[in-house]
Amino acid sequence: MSDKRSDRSYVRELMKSKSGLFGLVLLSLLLVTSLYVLITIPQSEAYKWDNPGAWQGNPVSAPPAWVNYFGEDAPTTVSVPLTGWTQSVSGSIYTYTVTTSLVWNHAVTPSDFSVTPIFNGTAYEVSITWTKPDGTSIPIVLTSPSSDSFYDLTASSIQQSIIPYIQSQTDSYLSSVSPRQELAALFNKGGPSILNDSVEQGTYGVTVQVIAGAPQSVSSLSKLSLVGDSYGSMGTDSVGRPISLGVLAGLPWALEIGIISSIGSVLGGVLWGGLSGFFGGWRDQLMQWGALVILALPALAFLVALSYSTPLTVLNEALIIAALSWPFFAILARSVTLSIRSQTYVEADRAMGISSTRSFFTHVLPRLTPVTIAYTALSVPAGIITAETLAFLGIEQGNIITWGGILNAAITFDASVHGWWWWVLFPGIMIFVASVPFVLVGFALDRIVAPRVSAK
Amino acid sequence: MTSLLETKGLRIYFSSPRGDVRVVEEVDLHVDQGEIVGLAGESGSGKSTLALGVMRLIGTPGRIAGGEIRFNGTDILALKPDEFRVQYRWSKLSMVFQGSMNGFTPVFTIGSQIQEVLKIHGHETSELAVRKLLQMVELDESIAVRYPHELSGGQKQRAFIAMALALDPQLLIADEPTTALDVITQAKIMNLLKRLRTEMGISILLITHDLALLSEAVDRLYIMYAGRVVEDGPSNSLFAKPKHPYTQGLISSTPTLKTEQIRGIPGFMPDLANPGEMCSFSLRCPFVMEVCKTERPRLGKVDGGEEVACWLY
Amino acid sequence: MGYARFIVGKTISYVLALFGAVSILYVALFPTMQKVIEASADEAASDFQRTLIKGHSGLSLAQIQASVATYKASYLSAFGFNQPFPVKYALQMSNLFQFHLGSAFFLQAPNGSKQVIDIIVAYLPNTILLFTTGTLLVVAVGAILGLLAARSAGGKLDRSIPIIAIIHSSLPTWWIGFIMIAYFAYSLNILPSGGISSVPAPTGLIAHFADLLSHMTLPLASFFIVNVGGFAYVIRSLAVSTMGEDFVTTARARGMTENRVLFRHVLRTASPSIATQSILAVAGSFGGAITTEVVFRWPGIGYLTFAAITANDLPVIVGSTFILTVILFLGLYIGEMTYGLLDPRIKTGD
Repeated sequence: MSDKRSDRSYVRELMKSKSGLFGLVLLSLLLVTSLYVLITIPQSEAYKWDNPGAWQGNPVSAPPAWVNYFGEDAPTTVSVPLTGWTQSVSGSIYTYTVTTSLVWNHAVTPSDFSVTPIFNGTAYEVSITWTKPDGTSIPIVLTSPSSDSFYDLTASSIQQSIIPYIQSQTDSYLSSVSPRQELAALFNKGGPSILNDSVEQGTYGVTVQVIAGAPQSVSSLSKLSLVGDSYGSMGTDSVGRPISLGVLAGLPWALEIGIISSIGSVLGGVLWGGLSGFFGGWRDQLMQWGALVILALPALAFLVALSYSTPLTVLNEALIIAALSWPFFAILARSVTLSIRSQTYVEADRAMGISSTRSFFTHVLPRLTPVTIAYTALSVPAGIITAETLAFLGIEQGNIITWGGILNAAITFDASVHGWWWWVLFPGIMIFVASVPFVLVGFALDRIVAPRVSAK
Repeated sequence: MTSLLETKGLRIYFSSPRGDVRVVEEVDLHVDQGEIVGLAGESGSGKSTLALGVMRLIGTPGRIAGGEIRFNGTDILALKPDEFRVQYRWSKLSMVFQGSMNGFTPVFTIGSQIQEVLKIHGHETSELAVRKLLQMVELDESIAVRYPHELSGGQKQRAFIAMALALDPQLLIADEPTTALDVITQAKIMNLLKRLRTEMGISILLITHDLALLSEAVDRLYIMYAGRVVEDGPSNSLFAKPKHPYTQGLISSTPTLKTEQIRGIPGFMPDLANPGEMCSFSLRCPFVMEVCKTERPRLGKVDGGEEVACWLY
Repeated sequence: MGYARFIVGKTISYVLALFGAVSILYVALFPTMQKVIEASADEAASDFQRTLIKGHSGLSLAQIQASVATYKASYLSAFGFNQPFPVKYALQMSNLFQFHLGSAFFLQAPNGSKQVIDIIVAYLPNTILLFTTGTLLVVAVGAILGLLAARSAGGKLDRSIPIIAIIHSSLPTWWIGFIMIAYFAYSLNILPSGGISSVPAPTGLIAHFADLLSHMTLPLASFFIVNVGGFAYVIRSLAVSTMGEDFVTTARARGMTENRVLFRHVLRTASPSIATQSILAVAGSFGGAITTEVVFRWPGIGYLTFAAITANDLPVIVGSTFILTVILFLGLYIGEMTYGLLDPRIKTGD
């Protein structure tokens, strides 16, 4: 009796099952997105990830922008370009000035403030005149700004200019203020209660003046940013990194580790278990014992410890995970092989004098194929989750972004304590989204392949 | 006198993607008090399913699609499941299964399982009762403390028969009780069954494909093919002069000491999902006629107290 | 007799397997282990030096230093440090199995000891408490769910189990914990967000116990939610395949109610496999221990390992990996023995 079905019929059956079809669709979406990510997000972004300075200008620990639709007032970052600089020369002093304005109609202040006039030289002084809607002007001066052409004046860098202003309004002494307090001062009506929450809505004027000792040319990237309280589709973490970038960038690595570890462990395990069941006798016992040894190693702990002896790359991490996961499939393949072996055609082969190796490849291995494929699909999520769990514990290859790594940062910065739910939710959902298609396809395949036992 | 067991027009169907598979179709049979009745046929003829149907053990995707089953006059199909379970199943009629090798639960001893049967039906559960049952099937009382896997095939079969007799049933259905056993054990079990009838008055419905077995044990027998009864009658006349071509084929394919050549019956069974309006055996019958292919013959009485469903008669 | 042979055979097999696994661990961690041993030697040597200076002030500095050097050399040779590999292997493995795990770089036990074994022993009970309770819950509820699902094969309960199993296969346990903390501990503020007891710890046995329970609730819940579905699915499959066997049909034929067939005959027959699965579940859950403990700041061996990773405390990492391996083996061994105990086919010798 032939129990082999053509591969095409398996695919057809898979298409017929609703969940299998859905899984296949999701799977192709994942692969396409992954390719998209690999193409559009260059490796340089990943390096940027580890460099906190690269993310200035993003709001810190900000929820996704769409919370505004749910009644929250969390403005996104407002950027105003600084163009139209006028140059005036007096002797060897070159003065560059630009005036612009912006409208602020939110009930909350921005979370930070960033003025970046980009010049190609050094300047003696950068000053900003901040004009409130009611006409009051606040001069902010920064003399001999530290280094080169990229002056990034944020709230914290202009502290020393703001404090006198606040003191003049409240008549009290302050040694330092927080960025929020500075912004409160800048956006408040003025007067003794200048540090309270009320915001004066309206048009604010900004005049930026740069005094340099040599001619400068201004970049068109100069801008004034009022950093908001929300960002993007998934918010930011405590350094200002967009979660959505992390979530997308983590996809190719997760898939890579999951697929490689899955193929490695299933193929290795099936071969091991298949041969073990096929040989029988002492070879079988020995191979079973070998599988037991590996099975009983506590995978996570072992991986953790191993990472201290070998630096991890995506590839060797996947292979090590595979090297620890194959016993499960060996046990499975062995029991399938035992039942195949008792079928007469294997006996017949032996009687005819056909070598056992050949018998293994012609009879046993093909019949193990459907199970192999089903389990390859099913074990990809395990590989992904193991890899992300390791990353969560801080063990991962450098220079790549992983969802586990993002969650590691989340727990280090106490995200759940602060209620920054987006930081925790989206990477986790992504793990789920990456795993589910494989699980669906795997279960559908498993149902097709495994003999159905109906309870009567 | 009402029969002990009587089926009328019994139909058991299994639903499948291709439609209903008619495993048992329009079967009338009866077993009277004190009889041993045989039910013969090849694999797939529906005989085991019939037995399961009588015990109301048909589960999805199968179902009893029509007909009556009467036990001592009562329509047992009309009973509620719990009523049947408590009042009839195993207590009035019990069954010895094909491959009773696996009929015992592997994790309990033989004795405890027999006791369990006694207990759940409210009978006395002493070790003595168990010992008596085992004695009835000629098994030593030490069997009671053994686990099923420690017994030989023949011992298991006999132990199962003991368990089937525990509640003193009136009817015992024996489905292939001797398959996979050696000839000597076969003979022992057949003798046991015969003794059960003569000494204890238990009626037996003996189901098997082995005609030789039936020929020396049963009073009457039914021949089933493709879910239907094609011939039935008293055993001596049926065996002496088989009428239906299928019966003839069956008998001649059973070797005797004098046979020089075994003739099988060529061909295969029809598709039970789409039987069509023709004689089920027409595809293989050596005497097939035109009418056989277009109309289905019904059981009709012939001499010798027999009935045959064949256009030859 | 068969059973005795079974026990002896399996025990030998497991002991050898443990040895094999630890050897693999050893080889994989070889460079790390040498560093750990060296550091231990340094630590022991400086302790010795302190003792010498405090106690025997009659010795000159050079004499003390010579003593210390000898001490350190003998310490290292106890670990076969300057010997060829086979000797190293034998000595260091035997030290491992005697639980001489050295002293930690940075961490220490609550009682102040810096010995790795003391640190581990201090934290291990918390892990056992949390995870054994959790696994018992998962096994008990999961087995019942699985059996009920098998009984109504194809029914509503049965169809929802695969969905739960799918979720279980696609989500990391610890992430659910994260979410639950955010919701229950912070939004609703009804349960503690982590740790094992409140600060300050409540006095009185009942208050203490209640406090412990409230701290266990969220970790248990997240552990349970993620694992029960998968376990129920495994049990369901076991039960369904058992129910396909002949004796189940005959059991029904013998006049038993469906409940009796399921909860006595099927359950009992499948119980060796169920027991094995349960033990595997316990043993496996120790792996997940690391991460769930981290999320809930539960002071067990998992959290200890995480702290060790953060602090780069190699001796603790090596030590806890070793202990976890031994525990896992113990679990699997108990599983095999339980299987043999429950399956009469093995007990009476087959």
